[in-house]
Amino acid sequence: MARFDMVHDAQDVYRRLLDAMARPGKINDLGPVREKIPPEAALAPGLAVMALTLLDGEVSFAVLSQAPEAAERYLKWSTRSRPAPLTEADYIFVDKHLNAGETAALLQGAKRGTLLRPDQSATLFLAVTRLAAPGEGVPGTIHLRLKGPGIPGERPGAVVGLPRLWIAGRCQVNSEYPLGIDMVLVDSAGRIMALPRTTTVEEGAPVWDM
Amino acid sequence: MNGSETKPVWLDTYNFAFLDEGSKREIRRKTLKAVAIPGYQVPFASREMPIARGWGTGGLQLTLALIGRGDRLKVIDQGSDDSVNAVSIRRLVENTTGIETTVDTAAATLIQTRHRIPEQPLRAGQILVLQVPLPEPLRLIEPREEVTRRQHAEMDYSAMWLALYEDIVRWGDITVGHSYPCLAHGRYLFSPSPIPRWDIPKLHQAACLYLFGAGREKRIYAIPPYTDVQPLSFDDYPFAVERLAGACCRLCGSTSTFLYEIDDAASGQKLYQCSDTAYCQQRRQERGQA
Repeated sequence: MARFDMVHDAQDVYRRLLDAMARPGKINDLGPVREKIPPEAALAPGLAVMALTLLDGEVSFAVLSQAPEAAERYLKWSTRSRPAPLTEADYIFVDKHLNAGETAALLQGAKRGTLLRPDQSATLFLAVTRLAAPGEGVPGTIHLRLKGPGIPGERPGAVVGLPRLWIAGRCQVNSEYPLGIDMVLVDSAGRIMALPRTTTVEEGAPVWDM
Repeated sequence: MNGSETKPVWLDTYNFAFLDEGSKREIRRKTLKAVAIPGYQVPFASREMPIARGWGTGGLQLTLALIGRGDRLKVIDQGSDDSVNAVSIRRLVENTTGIETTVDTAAATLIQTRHRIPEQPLRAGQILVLQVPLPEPLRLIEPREEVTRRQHAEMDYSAMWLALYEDIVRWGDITVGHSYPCLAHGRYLFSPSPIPRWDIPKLHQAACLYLFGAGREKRIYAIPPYTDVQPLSFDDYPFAVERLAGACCRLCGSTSTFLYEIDDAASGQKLYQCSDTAYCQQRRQERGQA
C-alpha cells in the first residue's frame, strides 16, 4: 500500500481544505489519498488524512472514537503530535455518535480562543455519513442554509448523519464572534465541508429555483 | 521569458518548495485560522529566507506553503512581471519546485504580488498572495503592539477615526494614498497592504481568496471570497479611488486602469502608463499593436 506522502499529499489535501474553509458549505473531494491510510489508524480515513496534513509536535489533538487509544497511538507515532484533554486540544477528531451530554460537553469545553488571541481556538473534525447534494432526498438528511463570509448570498447544504444537537450547539458556541470553534465535516466517501465560526447555519428545507 | 534560458533546478538540494515541511505546516494551520477570522492578524514563526526581510518574505513563505505540482504561479511587483523582485522570487520558486510560471493573469492559479491587485478580475480557484510590510493599520498611531492588540480585541478604532478626521481638518481631505484602512466582515480593521485606493474595491465581495503575509512582522491574515470589506470613510467625505482627469496609457490608451505618471525628460511632458504590464500587453495584442 502506498504511503501518505508528507510533501505532496499533504499539500494537495491542505489546498482542498483551505478552499473548503474559504467557501463554507462547498463540498470538496479528498480523492484517492484516503486509501493510503492503514487500518491500524483506527480512525475514519478522511479524518486521518486531515490529521496527517495538520498535526505535528507544535500542536495537540484529541480523539473521540470507539478505539481512541489506538487512534491516539497512530497519530502520535505518525505525526509526533501529542494527545491532550478536550479542553486544551488544538484539533479534535470525532469519529463516533455522541449523545446529548457528550456533545454539550465537547462544544462547551473546546477552546474558543480569547479576545486577544481568537486564533487559539479548537478546530473540530467531525465524521458524518454523507455530504449530499441538496434535494437528493436521502432519508435522514438535514438541510442547511448557510450564510456568511465565503458565501455569495446563501448556500444550501445537506448532511446525513449530523445530529441536530450540533447545529444549535455550534450556534451557541460561536455567538461571541470573534471567539468560536471552526468545524470541518468529513463524510465516509472522503468529502469535506467546512463550517468556520463566521458561518451562520439555519436548518431549513431547500429553496427551489423554479 | 520562461524556458529559453537554462536554469539550475535545485530539486535534489532542497525540499520541494524550499521550506521544510514543519514550517509549511505551521503556515498552513495559521492560514486556516486567518480565513476563519477575516482581517485578524495571526502570528506565525516566519523563517529566514534567502531574500532579506522586507522584500516579500511573508508573501514568499505563503506561496511556498501553498504551492503544489498542479499550480501555475505568477509573480508581480507593483503590477510588473519583470522587475528584479518579481523575477528573483519567481526563479526561486521555479528552481525549488520545477513548476511552470506564467505572466498571464487568467492562466495563473496562484499569484504573488507586491502592492497591486491585477486589473483583470480574479476568479474562484485563484489565490492572490499579497506581500505586506506593515500589517498593523494602527501602528503609525499607536506604536505599542500590546495596546493595538487590545484595541483590536475591543474593536476600539476611535484613534484611527480621529486620525482620518484630523487629516480632513488639516488638509481638507483624507490623504491616505496606499494601505487605506478597511474593516473586514464588519469587525477587524486591517491594512490591505500598500495597494493604491484603486484596488480597494476589488477586495469587497470578490470571487477569489486573498492571503496577506508579513515576514518581518510575522503576521498572516486573510480576506475570504464574498466577504464585506469597507474602507473607513465619513458620510460627508466618502471613499474615492484615484482619478487622473483626461489621462490615458501612452502604450495601450487605457483610461480605466491604474496609471503611473512618468516625466518625459526630452519634452518635459507628463506621460502615463498602465501599472499592470500584463494587462497592458494583452490590450495591445488584442488591438494588434504588439
